[in-house]
Order: sequence, then structure tokens, then C-alpha cells
Amino acid sequence: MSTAGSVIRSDPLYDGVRTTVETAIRDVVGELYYEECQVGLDSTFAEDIQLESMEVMEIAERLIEEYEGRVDFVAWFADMELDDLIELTVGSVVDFIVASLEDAG
Amino acid sequence: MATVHVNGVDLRVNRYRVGHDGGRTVVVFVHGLGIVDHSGLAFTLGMPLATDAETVLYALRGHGHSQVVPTGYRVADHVADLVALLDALGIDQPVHLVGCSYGGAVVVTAAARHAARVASLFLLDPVLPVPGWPERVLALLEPVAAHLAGGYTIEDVVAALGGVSRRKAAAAARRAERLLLGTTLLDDVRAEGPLAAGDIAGIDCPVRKAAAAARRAERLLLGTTLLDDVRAEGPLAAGDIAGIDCPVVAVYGARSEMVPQAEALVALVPHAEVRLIEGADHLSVFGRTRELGALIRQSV
Repeated sequence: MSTAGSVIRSDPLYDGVRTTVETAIRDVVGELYYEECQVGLDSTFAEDIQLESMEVMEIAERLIEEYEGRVDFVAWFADMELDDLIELTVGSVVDFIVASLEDAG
Repeated sequence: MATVHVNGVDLRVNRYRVGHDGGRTVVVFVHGLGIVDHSGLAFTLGMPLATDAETVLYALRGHGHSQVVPTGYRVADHVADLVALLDALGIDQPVHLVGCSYGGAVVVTAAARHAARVASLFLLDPVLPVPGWPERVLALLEPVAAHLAGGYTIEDVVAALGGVSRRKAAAAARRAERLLLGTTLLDDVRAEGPLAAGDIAGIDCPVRKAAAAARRAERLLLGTTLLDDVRAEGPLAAGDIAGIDCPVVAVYGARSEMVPQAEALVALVPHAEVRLIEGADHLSVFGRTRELGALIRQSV
């Protein structure tokens, strides 16, 4: 699930989604901890940011609300194995949202 | 996610369905007691099963983001919450109940008391409401409460954690230094004791998560009547359990300390089907999500 090594996009859609995802994480974990973790696109929620499942849930709920009707997070999570969840990165969430928004036109 | 006010308490609830209208199949998950809530189950089982059924998960009173009420932590209270929640959600058809650990006692009691609301039981390494169950739960909770009440150091919690990556270790060290040396956190959380050894072994996290878990444990164990409520519990009458006639599947980690209770279950409910997951104990069995998902699908 890592985006390490991939070409990072930079355009208004991608940058906007990235900001939204990063803001959701920042709001849940707090500014201080966010900075200490040096959260980046390749950061995993479970290992690098050390989020508890209820915090991941909170972030997911914020994103579901933000992209209501345009991004099907539940179907995406439903297709994941436990290892996929453990290895889930910030970048993969951004990529999924961007792809969903592009598909939705 | 929604917060639903039922039976005098606000419960945090999630409902999922993927690619279908939900139909008539509803699966409701009831999680265990302590520092957990429903979110882990939501990602590992609730969302995957949502492709086949509507799944409903909620945080028990006092857990996760549900309201921490000062009293009312008897199994009967959780059953009343569950039934009231189904009513509030407009779910009037019988539901498939998945009871995890302590949630097993809740769903078995729900099936015994509200048979018309229950289509089947899927018990996942359950605590069953059979003689001796309060003692079994108290043996885990009371030492934790004693530590919480008696004082502890966050280092005790950290010492129980290991096997972290370099990045995580470095981040944890930075956080630990800033938090432990640069703030009053140590004094502030000294009243938040270490968790039960089994709970700590299952957490695998550095200071922040351990401290959060300790805070939740303290809030629940010292701030509510939960312990007194468990002490006051008795077994469900054997006749009530024996009267359960819906399909029952009980899955245990083969190395779980809960396994001996399976005999009591089968003695009372002969049609109960018992499955063992090899190599798993009470905590790790919940990580065997692929096997569990397949078994729940078969069951419902």
C-alpha cells in the first residue's frame, strides 16, 4: 500500500485532497504529535503514526462526511485484508480519494 | 457514524452495507469489556461482511466514544441497550448477533430474554453467562483497578512494549523525552495504572497509546460501578440458556482460556456448533479475520 518510490502528483485536486486528509489526521492526533511523527505520504496509520483503531475510525468518518456520495470508503475497506489495514498509508488514502473523485467526474 | 440516545445513554453506532440494499439480513456485533470499542471489529469484520449483509456495530456504554455513565454495567443493562438500539434504528426483524469475549455474555442473554429479536448467535471466544463467569472477568479487572488506584509509572506501561521499528522507536523516544521530562504528564498519569498483562500484550504501542488506554481503563474501572456490577452478577439460569433455539456457533482460539466453557455451552445448547482456530489464544483469535469472516458468512 506504500506510495514510497512512486511519483507524487502536485495539482489542485491532489493537493486539495492531501490537505484534507492531513487536516483530518492532525485534528484527531493533535498538532504536536502530528509534527513529532513527521507524518508524510508514506506514513502508515498503524505503525508510523501509531493510531488506535478508534482514531482511524474517527479520521475515516471525517473523510466519509467530507466526500459523501463521491468516495466509497466502506467498499474500499471491505476489500482489505488485515495486512492491508496494517500497512495502510496516508498516500494510499489520498490516491484512493483522488481516483474516486476523478472517476466520479 | 451516529450517536443514538437509547435507554438513557448515548451510544456511538456505525451501520454498513456495500453494493446492496441491506435486505433482511442484519448482523450486529457486540464487543468485549475494557479498553476496546467496536472500531477494530468494524474494519476487520463489519465492513467486509457489509458486502453480504447490513452490519451494525456500536460501542458499549462506557466504551469508546459512547457515553460513560456512572452506573449500569450489568449484562442486563447492555442487553437493554442492545434491544433499545435495535428499536431506535428501526430494526424489527430478527438479527444475527456476533458476541466477542464479554459480548458473548450479552448476546447469549439477549437470545434467552428476547428470542424473537435474535436469528442466530455467533460467539467469538466468548465469556458465557455460566457459573463462575463474574469471577473469571474480575480476575482480569480487579488487579488493573488495584494498580490504577495504587499508582504506577508510565514506564511500567512502556516497559511492556517491544519490537518497535527504528522510526517508531525514535519517534517514541522523542515523544517520551518531551512528555516525560518536559511536562507534568508523569505526575498527571501516575494514577493511571498498568493494564492487565494480557491487555498490554495485545496493544503493541508506545507511550501515547498506552497512556490513552490507561486513561480509558481508569475512567471505566474507577469512575463507574462496573466492577461492583460485575461482582453482583450471577449466571443466567441453565434453563434460560437451554431454551435458546436459534442457531449457535461458538468459535474459540484453540489456546484460549475460554475453551473449557465450550463444554458448558454444548451441555446446555446441544445444537451449538463449536469451532476451534488452531494456534490462536483469546487475543490473537480476533486477528484471524479471514477465517472469522468466512465462518460468520457461513453462519448467517
